[in-house]
Amino acid sequence: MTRSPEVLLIEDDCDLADVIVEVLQTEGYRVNYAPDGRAALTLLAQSKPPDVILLDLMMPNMNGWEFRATQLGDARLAKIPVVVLSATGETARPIDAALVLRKPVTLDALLAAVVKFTKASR
Amino acid sequence: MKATRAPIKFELDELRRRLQEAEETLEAIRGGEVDALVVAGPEGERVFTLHGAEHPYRVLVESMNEGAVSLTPDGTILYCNGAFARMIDTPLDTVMGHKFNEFAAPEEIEALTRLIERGRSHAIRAEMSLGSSSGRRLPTQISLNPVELDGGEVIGVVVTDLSEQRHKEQAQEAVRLRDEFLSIASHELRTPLSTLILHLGLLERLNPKDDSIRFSQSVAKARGQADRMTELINRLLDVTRIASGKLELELATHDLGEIVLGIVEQMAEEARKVHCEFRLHIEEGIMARCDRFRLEQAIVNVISNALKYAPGRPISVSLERRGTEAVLAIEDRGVGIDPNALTRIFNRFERAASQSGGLGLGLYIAREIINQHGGSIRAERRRGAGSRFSITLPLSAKPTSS
Repeated sequence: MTRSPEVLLIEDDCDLADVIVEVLQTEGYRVNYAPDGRAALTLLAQSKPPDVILLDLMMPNMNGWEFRATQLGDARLAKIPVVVLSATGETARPIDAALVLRKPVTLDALLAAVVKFTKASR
Repeated sequence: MKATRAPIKFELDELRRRLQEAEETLEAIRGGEVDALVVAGPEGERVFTLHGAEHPYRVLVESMNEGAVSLTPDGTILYCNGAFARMIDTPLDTVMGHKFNEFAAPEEIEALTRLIERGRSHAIRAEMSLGSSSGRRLPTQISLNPVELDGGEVIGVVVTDLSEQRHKEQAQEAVRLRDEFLSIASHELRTPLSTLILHLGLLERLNPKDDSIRFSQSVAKARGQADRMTELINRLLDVTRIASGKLELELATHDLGEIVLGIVEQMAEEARKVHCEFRLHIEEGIMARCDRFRLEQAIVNVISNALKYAPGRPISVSLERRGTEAVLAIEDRGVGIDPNALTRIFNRFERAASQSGGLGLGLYIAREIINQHGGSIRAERRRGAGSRFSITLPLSAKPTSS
């Protein structure tokens, strides 16, 4: 039996993070969680790279754009697909990501994205 | 031959006389001895006066939107046009003879005096406000040019009204703030909406009979997000009420210590989540007339702010009597506030850190509520590290406790 795929969730809103973790765990994923970009980099430095990263944009300490730029500059992390969970308006800065999901995100859209990128990475 | 030579000589003498006359006239004009010239022409005699030569310039100066003023070197007004008189809201005939700096806004009199001083020797311009008899202030640009006139010195001044430009800038700023606010408001509402939608998705997949605990937990969390959205919308409405002056206070005499202790108790759970501990120092029996609900809202906003920016560190809350005032101080040991932002953070839509969440309305609402109570709020950097917010409220005239 293969190990279940792993997701890293980077989201500063703990209520939203809670429900996303619950949804993904219910579906059999292993989930790691960081409240901002800086905490995520610390986690990534200590563990095996996840199959997919779910990334919020507006966060304290290190925001989603800064995290993504750092990730792309690190050969070990650059290839991990990133799904952005964006709540910012149309005028927001663009971000280079595998997929951008606009909040409010539905459970089906969230799961479809995670399924797609965890399959692709195998 | 003689017969033809005599008239020619006569004509020559006549021409010489006229030339002499013309030269004398020119000399007299140059010397300022002539006020008017009478010139004979095919349509009869025409009078040219110095006034006539000035007339087109005068019409031009009077039709300008800019104020035109000429000053003696000591700054006395020799002449001004109608536009300038309108700018300072003073009848034209009473302006001349006054000192120019009398028409500056009170706090700019000295600056204008220095500007005139410098305008005596070289062209100079500056932005300054003019005052008027009605107390109105007019933002203007004032340009001064020294002019040599008949050996005397005059300073020519052009005054440009900048109020329209200022209104335009203010309107642009208001639009920018509104756009930013809409984007922040939409961001802030989308997050709890996402959480709510995901809980609803989970509830659709759960069987309430098999999974009754998870089911009811999810229902409770969904309700929590709906409450969070209600609170956000209420804040937006509060801002609308404050901006239109419709925030009404229901005043009664309350024990401030009791109010503060109630808030601390109510926020204990929130503080525990971010590992903050409250350190209290509350003087008893401090009474003030206040709207309990609104005052609580203001204090909660300030404490929430401390929890947000100083997680994991203790927060001191102290209440004491100081003369005729009550002083409530909330001190955190967080990152502190940039010295340049200490007053800005109370403005609408401002957040201490641009990447942090929130509508940027909490401290604005707090300040407006406290101001309406006749009190004040200010932020300082705390010695060591962190921030200190002091709220000052007038004490109730007659303390109900002994």
